[in-house]
Amino acid sequence: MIKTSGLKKLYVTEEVETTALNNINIEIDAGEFVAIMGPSGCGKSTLLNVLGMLDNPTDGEYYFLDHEVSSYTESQRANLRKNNLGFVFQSFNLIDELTVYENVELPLLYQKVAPAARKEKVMAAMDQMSMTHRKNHFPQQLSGGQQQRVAVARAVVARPKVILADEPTGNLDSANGDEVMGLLADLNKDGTTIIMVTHAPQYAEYSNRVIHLLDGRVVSEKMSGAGRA
Amino acid sequence: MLRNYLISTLRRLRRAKGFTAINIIGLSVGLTGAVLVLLLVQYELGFDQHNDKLDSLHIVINRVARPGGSDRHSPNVPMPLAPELLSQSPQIVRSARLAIGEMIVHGDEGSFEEGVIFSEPDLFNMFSFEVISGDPAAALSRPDGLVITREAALKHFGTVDLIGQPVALTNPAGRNEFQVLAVVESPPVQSTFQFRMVLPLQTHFAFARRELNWNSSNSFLLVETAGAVGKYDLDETFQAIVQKNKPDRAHVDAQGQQPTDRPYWNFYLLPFEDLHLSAQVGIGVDPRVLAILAAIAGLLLTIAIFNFVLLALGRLKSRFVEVGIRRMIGASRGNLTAMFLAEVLVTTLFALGLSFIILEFSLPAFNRLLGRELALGAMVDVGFWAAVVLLISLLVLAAGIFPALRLASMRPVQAMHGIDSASRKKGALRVGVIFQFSLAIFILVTALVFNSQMKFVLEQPLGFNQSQIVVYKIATEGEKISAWSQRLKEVLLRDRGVRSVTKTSVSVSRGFDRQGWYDRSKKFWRAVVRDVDESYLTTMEISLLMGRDFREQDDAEVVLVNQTFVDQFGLENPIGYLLDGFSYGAGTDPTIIGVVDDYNFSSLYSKVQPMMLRKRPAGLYSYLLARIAPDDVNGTLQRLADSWKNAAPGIPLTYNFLDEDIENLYVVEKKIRAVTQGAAILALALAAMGLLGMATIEVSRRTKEIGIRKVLGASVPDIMSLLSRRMVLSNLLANIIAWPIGWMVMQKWLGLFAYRIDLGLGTFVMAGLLALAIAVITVSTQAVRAATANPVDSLRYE
Repeated sequence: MIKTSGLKKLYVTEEVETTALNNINIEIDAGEFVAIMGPSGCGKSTLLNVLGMLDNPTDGEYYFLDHEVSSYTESQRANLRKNNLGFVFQSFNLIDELTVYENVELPLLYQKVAPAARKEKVMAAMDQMSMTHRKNHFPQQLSGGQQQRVAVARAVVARPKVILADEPTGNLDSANGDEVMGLLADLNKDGTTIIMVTHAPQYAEYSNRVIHLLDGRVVSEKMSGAGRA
Repeated sequence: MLRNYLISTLRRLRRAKGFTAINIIGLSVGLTGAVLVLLLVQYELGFDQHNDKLDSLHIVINRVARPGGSDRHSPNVPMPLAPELLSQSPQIVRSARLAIGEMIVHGDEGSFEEGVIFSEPDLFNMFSFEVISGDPAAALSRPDGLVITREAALKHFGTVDLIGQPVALTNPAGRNEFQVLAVVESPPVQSTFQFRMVLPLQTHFAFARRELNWNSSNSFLLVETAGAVGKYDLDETFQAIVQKNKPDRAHVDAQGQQPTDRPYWNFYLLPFEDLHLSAQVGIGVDPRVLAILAAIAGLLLTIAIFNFVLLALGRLKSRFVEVGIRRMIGASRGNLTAMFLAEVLVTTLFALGLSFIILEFSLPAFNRLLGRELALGAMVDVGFWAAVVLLISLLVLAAGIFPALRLASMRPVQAMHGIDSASRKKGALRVGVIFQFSLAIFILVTALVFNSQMKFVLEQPLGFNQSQIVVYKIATEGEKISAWSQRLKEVLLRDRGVRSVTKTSVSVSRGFDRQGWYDRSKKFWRAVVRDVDESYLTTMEISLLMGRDFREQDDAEVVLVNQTFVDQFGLENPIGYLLDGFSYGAGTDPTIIGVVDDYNFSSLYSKVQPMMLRKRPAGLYSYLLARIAPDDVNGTLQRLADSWKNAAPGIPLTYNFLDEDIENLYVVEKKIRAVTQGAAILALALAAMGLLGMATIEVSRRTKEIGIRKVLGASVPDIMSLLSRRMVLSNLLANIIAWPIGWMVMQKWLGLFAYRIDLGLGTFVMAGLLALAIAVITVSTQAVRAATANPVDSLRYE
């Protein structure tokens, strides 16, 4: 489903050239739960952004569903994104001016889903995340765990093939963190591919494969938790 | 999707109350001005549209060549032009000459002076006026017919049921009996013709003198053409008519003496529709005044747009995360652009709503100021809405497109992480602030210069003492006027409140009587001629430079002239100089007995011209100027009115103050001054609000930096200067832009005045400092807050 070869990402400012990703060759199949680990600044988030088509690589090839997307324009990528990808972030990234319901509904609006179907999908996603009773609240009125559940609901509402999660538990206490990880694991069981960046070894255990990065390179790929079983 | 845009917009507006208020107030002020100008333009364009035959109606204009100067476009033409034109041009199917005069109406309610127009039957066949009873065209075909409007009928007779009613009218030529043969509705407000009574042309007191006289251009000529006739289509016909009847007017040079190749008289047909907005003819509204108002509205709107754009750009950072999320979720650039434009639209619509509320309350004041009857209800039609929709669309594009494109061009990842990919393009923001300052300074300069010039004009020594002078106007029949004016002079002089009284043919600012003549050596002389009496100089407090004043026994054989007369005609020994040729052989030529200091007898747009004061025993002294004691003015005026009523029952007398007359010369300027002053204050307030917003943004953006600096030892003044430095710099740069433009525009305007202030650097410096002060004050309010805050708080903030 996802394949990269020789992927490279440089950040160039006036004086410094930083290699964020260097010759990344990975392959991820549909239905996998992959965790990306490594110390701060190793390029985890950059890799996730490239995989999520939020950013173009500087060099190398990136195949997403057999499309070579590394040279796609932003609008082509946006098109692929909205039909296939869901995102979850450490800082939740909900829109403050929209209610829980409206935040979850947003991806469907951009996909021009008909109102009746939209309502049905939004309610289903919120139900799945047990957030239905909060649908008219604004993000500021919710706890961190609740906000992250809304973010997950928003990521899954359009039934994406892949969910990209960037330290989804980073801002949560362990009880809420466990709960969010449980939700991701459930989604994975239902067939959604999950790629997650994390610092926490205990959450990497939820995945079936862990990719370790250091200084922009893949240093090891191990089967883990579910993968080993 | 639209609902989503609207909802998030409304919530965002509510959240950022301060910025929303700045934007909505600013835009609504600008929009109020714009809608007002729109209403005004619509109103002025609506003039004379009630005439069914408007397309084929024209007025004959005489373009009088003034070599070296700009030609004069005069609607006054000789009376015999009409029959000549009708007989020589088949395209002219009807015509009506029209003259203006005054009559005293002896009605049931007493005797009143009334402005009257004199015209011909076809006036009512060409122009559309609503008839209540009778036949106005037929009325004007009879020598004693009278057409009266409802308003005048009610005033003089208390009824409109007047057909057949005999009416006595007096004019300088005597008393005549007329008969009401038609009653019409008063002309609509948007009609160039405003009349209360129409009389047959031949009853004008000067008709006999003017009917065949090519030397006197004193009536209007209105024509109806068959089909479309261009402005200059009849040029050859007109030139042939002039050549045949007035060959000396065919060609003339600068001094009005030597023939040249250039025609002197050039008649043409001005479509009647264009008359009201013709700046050249000057009967209606000068479109330049509309242009000034539109420019002011445009400036206000521009400042509001700048505020909007600057605040939007300044707050862009707060939108990054949201934009990033939306992009990530699937929003296209188009989506984001549309979203932001929708936000601008919502804000603008709020502003529009507010501006309608402001208009509703302020229209009466504007109407008083502009002398118009603008109304939101009646004038709001499809065209108006179309213009408003256009205006709003342009506004939304102007204010929204730049921030919208900036937002939409954000790359999702960078946006999510709060990195402005265009952060190195902060220049746009800075240039915007500088431009904003320039606008404010420009408006300040304009208002300051306007103010001091008008002050200068109104306080300019005029060469006579204008205060405490009451202008009396006496209206009665010609042969009796000198007797009555003498009688009035006696009545006035008897009163203890009156210091002195003089009789004159024209008051200072009213009327203009220029005369030209050739002397024996064929030298051409031209001067303004005023009839006065022996008390003129003393009453007006005009100083005599040479020779002597008039004495009671003097007659028209001696005259006084002003200094300009002496200078212009190079008289070395003016006293005793015989002005030969002045009387054209009909009487004795006058001799100069004295020279008076120059005094201004018209507006300060023009230089003092050569003038001659003449004393004629039987002159038409319609005006009496009385200098009264400054104490108990109202009591004196009342006493005088009563004494006159007893002395001359039934002879109407009107009066007003001379200084009011002089101020009235500058009515338009005073209105424009009021408007520019108001606009300047508004503009500054708007600019200050925008700056306040910018300062808030700047401070919140630098909160962390301020905290770090304070931890490292920066004092409160250090922080204040850090935050104000950029504003001060922008302000200084803005002066560089605003000064030359302000200088050029104001120089051009001042060029219209013969007597004007000099443009000093002071005005500009003052405008710059004022803008700077406002900037510093607004920025300081924010800077103080940040500088005095506990450093830990500002560090924790991020």
